Amino acid sequence: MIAAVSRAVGHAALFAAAAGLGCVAIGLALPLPEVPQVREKLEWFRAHRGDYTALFLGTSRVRRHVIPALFDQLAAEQGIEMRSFNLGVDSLASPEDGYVLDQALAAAPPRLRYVFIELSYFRANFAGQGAETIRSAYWHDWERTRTVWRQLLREDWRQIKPLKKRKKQRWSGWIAEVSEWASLAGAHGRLFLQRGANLGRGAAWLRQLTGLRSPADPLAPLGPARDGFIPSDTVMTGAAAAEYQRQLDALATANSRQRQLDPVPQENLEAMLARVRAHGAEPILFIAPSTGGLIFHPRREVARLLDFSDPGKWPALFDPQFRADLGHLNSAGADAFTRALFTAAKLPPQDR
Amino acid sequence: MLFVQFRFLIYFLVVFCVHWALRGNTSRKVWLLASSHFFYACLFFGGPDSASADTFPLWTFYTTIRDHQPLPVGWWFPIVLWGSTIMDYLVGLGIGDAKTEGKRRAWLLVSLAINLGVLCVFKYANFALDSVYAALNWFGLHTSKPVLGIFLPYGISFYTFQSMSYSIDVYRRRLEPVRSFLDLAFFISFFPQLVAGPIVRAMTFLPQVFVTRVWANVNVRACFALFFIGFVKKACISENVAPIADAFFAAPGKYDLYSSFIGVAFYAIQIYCDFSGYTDMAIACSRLLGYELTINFDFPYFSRSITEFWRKWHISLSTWLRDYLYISLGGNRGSKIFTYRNLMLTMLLGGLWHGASWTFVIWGGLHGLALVVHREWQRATEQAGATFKKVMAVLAVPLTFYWIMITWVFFRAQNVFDEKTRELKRSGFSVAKEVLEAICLFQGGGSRSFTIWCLWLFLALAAVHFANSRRWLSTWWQRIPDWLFSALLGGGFAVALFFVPTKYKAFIYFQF
Repeated sequence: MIAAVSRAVGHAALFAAAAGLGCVAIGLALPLPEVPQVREKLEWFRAHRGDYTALFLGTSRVRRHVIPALFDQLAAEQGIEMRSFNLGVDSLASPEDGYVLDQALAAAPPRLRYVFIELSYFRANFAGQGAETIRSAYWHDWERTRTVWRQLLREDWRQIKPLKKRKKQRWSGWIAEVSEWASLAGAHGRLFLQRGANLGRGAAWLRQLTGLRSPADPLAPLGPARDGFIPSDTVMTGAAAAEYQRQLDALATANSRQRQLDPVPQENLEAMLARVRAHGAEPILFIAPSTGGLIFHPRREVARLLDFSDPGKWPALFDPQFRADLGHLNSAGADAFTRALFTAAKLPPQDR
Repeated sequence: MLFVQFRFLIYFLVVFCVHWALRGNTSRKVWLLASSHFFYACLFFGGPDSASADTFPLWTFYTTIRDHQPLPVGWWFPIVLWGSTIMDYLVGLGIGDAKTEGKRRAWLLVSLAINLGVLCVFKYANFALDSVYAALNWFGLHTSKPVLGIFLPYGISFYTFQSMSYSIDVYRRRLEPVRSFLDLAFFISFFPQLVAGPIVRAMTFLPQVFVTRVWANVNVRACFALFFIGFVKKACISENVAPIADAFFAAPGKYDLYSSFIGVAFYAIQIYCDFSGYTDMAIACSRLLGYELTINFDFPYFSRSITEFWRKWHISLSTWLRDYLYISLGGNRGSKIFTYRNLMLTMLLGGLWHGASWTFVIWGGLHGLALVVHREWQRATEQAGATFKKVMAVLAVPLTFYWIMITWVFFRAQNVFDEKTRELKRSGFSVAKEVLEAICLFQGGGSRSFTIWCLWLFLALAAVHFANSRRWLSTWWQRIPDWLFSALLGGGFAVALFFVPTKYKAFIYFQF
């Protein structure tokens, strides 16, 4: 009996090892997954890696706020050789941004000197994104999955009120919170396995092969100038404009929404900065102008930080005329922001 | 839950380990009965997407009770299942204890009436009302459309037929009535075949239930190989050809002639791989627990006639219809017209069994017509020359497949309803008409086209399928050492997982 069970366990282990090796081998041979904006931008960056000296990484607030052509022009006027690329992706939160950065750095861009990183929120849940999409799965390598688990264990777990302190709430509320926490942790584990097993990759490839999916313009996410910037000529009006004004008026003090990064996101950020420095580039952090949400600051000084979140210090960036919607600048606003970013960056002239 | 899901792997591991750890036959049956009902509950307790969602809905059910929310649709499905089981258990005992033929027949009629009545109410009530409403409107007698909130319990088409097979076999004295309710309940509720078959006969399954299963009799390697084949069919092939078929049937008039044939051919692949894949996995799981289920498919697309097709497609249903309907109607024991009548009735009802829609009835009717035509053809060509027979032998398979493709159009072309208002947007007949104009009249007037890779994919799948039908690929893996088999299976799963999509459709036959 014991021998039979041992044999069975051995064969199961052999099966698992072969499956694991097979998945790893297939994964190594695969191109980037079909993640909108990410794939197109990274493929372009890799194909033109020798051209770029600066990279802008962040959310849609980078994608729609930073004009590389203008940034390069301003640098040229100062005698600085500059060619920048906008690697902004909608909803690119931590730790996903670290994964995208690693993919960009893996291309070994030889002339990269600056990496501008938007300080974004750390996302451990799937708000706004399906948990079963390739977008949710593709960045779940071991490092990122471990980071999310550590954040869930250190911070989210601590926010669940212990059972003994629940005087008025029923114990079932505790079970509900623990269950939700466990479900979230399990979901990240599942995504790690999904990514490791290359689930969905073949199906996506077949859809393209059979003609079910053929994008009208595969380079559209790169914008008209093919530098990653997406312009918008909209000016916010009506109810949206009224709501924006209300949010602006509510920002009596910028400090009220400032928070320090939790320890795990701080470690994640420092790891990103270390990898940029190891590549020989200088990381520069920045916070985009916004009226909603929390503003996260590093727990300690780890790199230069350019903070554009205070309407008092940057009134032009909060002008309603420069707003396409509540969260984003229009092209005119992007122009103003890019100029402000360049000015604040104070890039040294010795790069001439 | 679906056999291809991760949660099923966890579920089955637990069921398997406890099953073989238990010593007594009774304790094992109790365990499998409880596990089967847990499996059944997972299909609907988590809400409308519960069948294909990859979670155990235990927490959903708990919060529903705790928060006094309405129970999920389908909470009463197990009650119907138990009701059918209890009723047939009593019927079996009644038939066994009855002293006269009249009383035996009366018990049988009770079983048939209740099983068929339950099936008709849940499956065909809305269909009947819709048909009456449509007929009245057609005659100009406008009336408000009746709406009955009737939901079809999962698996009802399969387990009512299984229950009836038990009652009928007891009545025909082919089987002794089961005295242990546990045995009958286990036979009907056994999870590998509960929801989508194969329709297991009491005569073949109950003798296995009476005997304690022995692990030494389980061919583990064959089970894993069969499960892997089923997994590839469902998760890799069916799930990947389905979007092509769906895209085509959503707007058939917009596709060119080549794409029309591709769309229908890919649906033929989808339904075969979906259903036979499910069956393969069900049989494999059942064998791993020591129980043998009926095989359900035998490479039906290489049939040389419709008669042969129905000996190889959904074998458990076709033999059930033959033994309990066709033969009961008189079979071929009368005149030619009488035989053809019985054939047509059997196939029409077989079509109706699949779904409450006229398109399914037409599908069955077309197959009945083909069976009749084939019999006449055989009669007419009995004396034909050798050359003619050789030519027909070559053309038989593609012609039969072409006819099957035409009939699948009616099977697939369902009514399309608006998601919010539930109003009919497009009837299945209009979809079928467009498709048939293309593949029968060669009038594909659209401009959209699938790429040539679809044709290569079809040919590659056909080649592999042909090789399997000749058993060219089914013997080498039986001779290699265990460790090599384990390693190759692992590598095979790695390749299969690459083709698996991130979201599954539920098995097609779950809707029946």
